Amino acid sequence: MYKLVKNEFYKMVGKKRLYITLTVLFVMIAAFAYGQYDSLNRTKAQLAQRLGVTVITDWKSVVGQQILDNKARVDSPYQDEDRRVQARVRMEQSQFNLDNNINTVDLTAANFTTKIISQSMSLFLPLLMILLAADLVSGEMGGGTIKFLLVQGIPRWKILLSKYIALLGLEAVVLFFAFVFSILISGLLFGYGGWWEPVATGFKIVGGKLDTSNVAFVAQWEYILMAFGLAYYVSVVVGTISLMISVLVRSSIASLGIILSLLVGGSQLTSYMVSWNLPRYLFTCNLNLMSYISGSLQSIPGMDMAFSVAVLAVWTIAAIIVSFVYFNKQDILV
Amino acid sequence: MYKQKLWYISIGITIISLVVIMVGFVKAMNFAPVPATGTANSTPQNASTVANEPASSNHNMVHVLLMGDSIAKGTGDEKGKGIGGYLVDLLKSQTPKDIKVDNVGVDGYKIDDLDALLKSGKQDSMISSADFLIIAIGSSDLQEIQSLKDQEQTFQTKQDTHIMELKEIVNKIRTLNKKTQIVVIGSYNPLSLATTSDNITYLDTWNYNSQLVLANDDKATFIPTYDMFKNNLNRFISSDKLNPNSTGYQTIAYLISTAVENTLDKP
Repeated sequence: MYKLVKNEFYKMVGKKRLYITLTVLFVMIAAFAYGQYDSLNRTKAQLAQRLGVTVITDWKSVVGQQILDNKARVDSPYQDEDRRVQARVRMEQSQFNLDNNINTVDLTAANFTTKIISQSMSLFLPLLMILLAADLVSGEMGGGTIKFLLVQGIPRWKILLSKYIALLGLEAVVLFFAFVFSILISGLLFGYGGWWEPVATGFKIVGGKLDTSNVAFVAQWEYILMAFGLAYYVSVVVGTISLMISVLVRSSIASLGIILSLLVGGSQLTSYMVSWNLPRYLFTCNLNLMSYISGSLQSIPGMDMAFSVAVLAVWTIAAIIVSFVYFNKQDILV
Repeated sequence: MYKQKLWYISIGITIISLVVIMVGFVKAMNFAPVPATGTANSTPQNASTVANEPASSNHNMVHVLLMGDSIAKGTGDEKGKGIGGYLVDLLKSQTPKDIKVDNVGVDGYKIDDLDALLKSGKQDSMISSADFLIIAIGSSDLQEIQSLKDQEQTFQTKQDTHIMELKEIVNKIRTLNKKTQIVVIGSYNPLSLATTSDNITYLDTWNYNSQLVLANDDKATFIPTYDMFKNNLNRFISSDKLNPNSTGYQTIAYLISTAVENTLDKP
């Protein structure tokens, strides 16, 4: 088994797939870091111009202005009710952060990492994992190499299991690099600190108002730890489903296409979840686990961490069962 | 050899990452927000107070506060600066001090709303620290009259409340801040067509009576705008046909800065 996993690992590394994934990751993180850096500077410059001072040094004045802007939105009679609620919640959240001396304006390596990992959790990270997993089996079918594997007399389930284990390992490696890249790049721009700063979590919205009674403070490093824990869970789910599709479909291109369109199309269903119950049972609508920790601004009744984790777990287990059963029974004619 | 090394490094990274990730995942699963017990180093304040520090004690700062409707807010300015933005530019050449602008203008505000806002006391700290208080209000109230049939009667009642509430507002400001320069921006007629002599009379009467409210206050100024806008509508009005555009705001700001110039400390 050990040898099989090792062999699968070499195959995945040898295909350069891993390096492509890591390069994409690096480029995206660099671009995101620069974007954040640029927009922060721009916000500050604009505010400085509006207030008539040369430079903004104090993050509190930025938050103060954000509060005033949102307050104007809340008071405006031309806003529709949804926007007004959003603005009010944002205003209350900024006010809360301000009152509790939590700096959400200035960036550090630590809070940048949290930001990028929680924002990429529902789409970008799954895409990377698909890149790794989508042609794991279908690639061998298409290339005809599957017969060399099968003629060795090893049980089929062992072959698939070794692929699966190698995949899970590489997903962890990718996340490791996501962390390293993010820290290295953002540290250059924002400095390497911020690990002990508090993060306010657990915001809730009750009847269009922000409920801060459950808010807890977590240190940034703990928050990052949780983010990566959830990110890996999401990666495993997406990886497993990709593996299943790659078992079911013989062409690599087709399996990549199917899983991509499932992910992208499915995530667009998220917007219907408030009124329609079905999409919440799709895996794509449950990937944004981090929002349960940070306190999601548009919470949907009946959806919480336990629900989403359970839905994802059901999908994963089902995908594993389907993959192994189908792979065992499949006729392989190459 | 190289392959072997890569394999061991990868296994190492994987195992370390997995352990860390597991810890994180378990933490996330067990994460139940506990009510905050002052973990962060600060004392929560009343959530409704707005964040800005009063600047009254700061003698190196000119604090400008804009209140009222969309004209105070700067709606319609394609450059997004509004009266406040242009005023900063103009005042900069007149004083060495820093200039700080706060804008609490709200689109569609009526004088009732402004009166209620002042009575609520939410803006007290800002008002008491303001060196200039620029008020633009009443245009929405005046606008309403146009579409009514019984104009005469409604105008009278509306004007009476307007004057009464404007007095209340000025009095309230004066109880909070005796030194501030109050600037009230007059109403103009944004419509080029609906200019029957009746309507113009209403506008003029309205402006005149508003001006009278400030007559006895030597630190209050009324800035008329109808005269500037009368023949310049296509230059000064934004695409919403109601609010000034960038040039319009610039003109109003210029009028204000000229009017208050002597009350500033010269460089």
